[in-house]
Amino acid sequence: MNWINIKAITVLVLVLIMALAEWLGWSDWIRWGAMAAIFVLVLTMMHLVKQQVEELNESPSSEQEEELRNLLTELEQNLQQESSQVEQERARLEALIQDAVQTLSGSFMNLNDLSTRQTVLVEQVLSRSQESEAGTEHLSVSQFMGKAEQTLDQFVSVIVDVSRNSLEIVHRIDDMMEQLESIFTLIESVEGIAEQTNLLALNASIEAARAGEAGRGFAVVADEVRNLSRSSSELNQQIREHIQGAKGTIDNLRESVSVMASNDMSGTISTKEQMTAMMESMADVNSQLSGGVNELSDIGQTLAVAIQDAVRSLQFEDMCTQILQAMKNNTNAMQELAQLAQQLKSADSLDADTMKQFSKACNDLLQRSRELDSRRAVSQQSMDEGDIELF
Amino acid sequence: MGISCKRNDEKKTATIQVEGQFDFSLHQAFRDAYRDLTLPGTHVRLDLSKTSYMDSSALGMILLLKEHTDKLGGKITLVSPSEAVNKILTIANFHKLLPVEN
Repeated sequence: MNWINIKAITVLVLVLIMALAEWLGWSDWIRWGAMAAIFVLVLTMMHLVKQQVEELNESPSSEQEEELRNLLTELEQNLQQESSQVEQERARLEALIQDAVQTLSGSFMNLNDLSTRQTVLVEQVLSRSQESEAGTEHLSVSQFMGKAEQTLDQFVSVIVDVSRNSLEIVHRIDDMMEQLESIFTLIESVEGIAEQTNLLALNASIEAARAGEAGRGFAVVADEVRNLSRSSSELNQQIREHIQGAKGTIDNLRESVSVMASNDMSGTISTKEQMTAMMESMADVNSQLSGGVNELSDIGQTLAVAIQDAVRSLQFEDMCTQILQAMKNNTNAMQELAQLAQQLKSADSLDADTMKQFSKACNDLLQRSRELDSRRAVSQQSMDEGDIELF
Repeated sequence: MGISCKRNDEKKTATIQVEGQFDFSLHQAFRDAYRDLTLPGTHVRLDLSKTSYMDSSALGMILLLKEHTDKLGGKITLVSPSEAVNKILTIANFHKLLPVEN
């Protein structure tokens, strides 16, 4: 009976050590070392208990009983020590995981808030840039540039019109000058007539003088005709001077109009080229900007999804807590085993009945432990199947 | 330097070439080159290949030439403007107003 119980305890302890090693993440050499130590310990205990039991079976003496009780004390102490250490480590692990998950959860929430704010800001920027493209109340810079270009075009067309009109005026002035020149020719003809009239009047007065007393009246008329021709010459001279003056004035006018007609276009051309270059660079900047903002918006959405995934992954804490709880069952079992050893040690007599009771209690304990273990296996499987990434 | 005009009355064409600077100083010579063209439907080719510079008065003169040919029911073509001259024609939107041959 005892022999079987010790075997069961050995198996149980080895299973526990394996489970502990798995969930505390002991390295292989510690794992094997612990197992070897427990194995040697249990072998030694087995040997000792076997001897004592044989002795007891053969002839249970008070001396052998005393030895058995000592052994049970050692077993109880060992079990107590191991189980309390495992329980300590387990509790530490639980606290560590809880703490880490709390911190992680806090920072993910913060990250989520920040990402949401960023998305809102990006959306604001996007909607504003679309508004300005659609041209609501705000006059966008590109619209302003368009208007400026239009104004420049109008300015150029005004300049060209002014030049065209000025040239038309100059052409009229040229025509007028030609007419003035023809007036000069006419004046010259008139002057010729006056000169001839003068000569005729001179001849007439000579003829009158030759006629003597009879020509006296005629001489007076000839003199008057001479005077008239002289006045006519003077008048012609005045007309010539006035027209000359008019020509001078017209020349000045032509000069003024020519200044009005002649405008250098190179300044306007360079202004227009600068404006075109500005428009192009602005279009570039705009498209880069809107591309960047769009990308930013995409990144924000991806970030939100990633954060949600991460927050969901934090559920691994629940799994870990379950596993650690299951391990607590194991340490409890170890402590119960220690209590059983202690009860056996302080039993009044170590007769067959007492031994039988002890064996039954051990068996019950093993049964319970197996049951718990099978439940744990089920929960472990469900974690493998879960869609949760551990990091 | 200056303006030369070649007429072909049979084909009803005339080619006016402006050499050097096309500005106000040429207005009389330019007007003289076209004012005698009176055949209906005359096609005037304004050769700007040797024109180095143009100011607004040149544009005004071209507009007056266009009005003259329009009256005759003819047309006007600008021929081979240099790059500098082409810029001035572009800024004044003359490309929309007149055909330009390169």
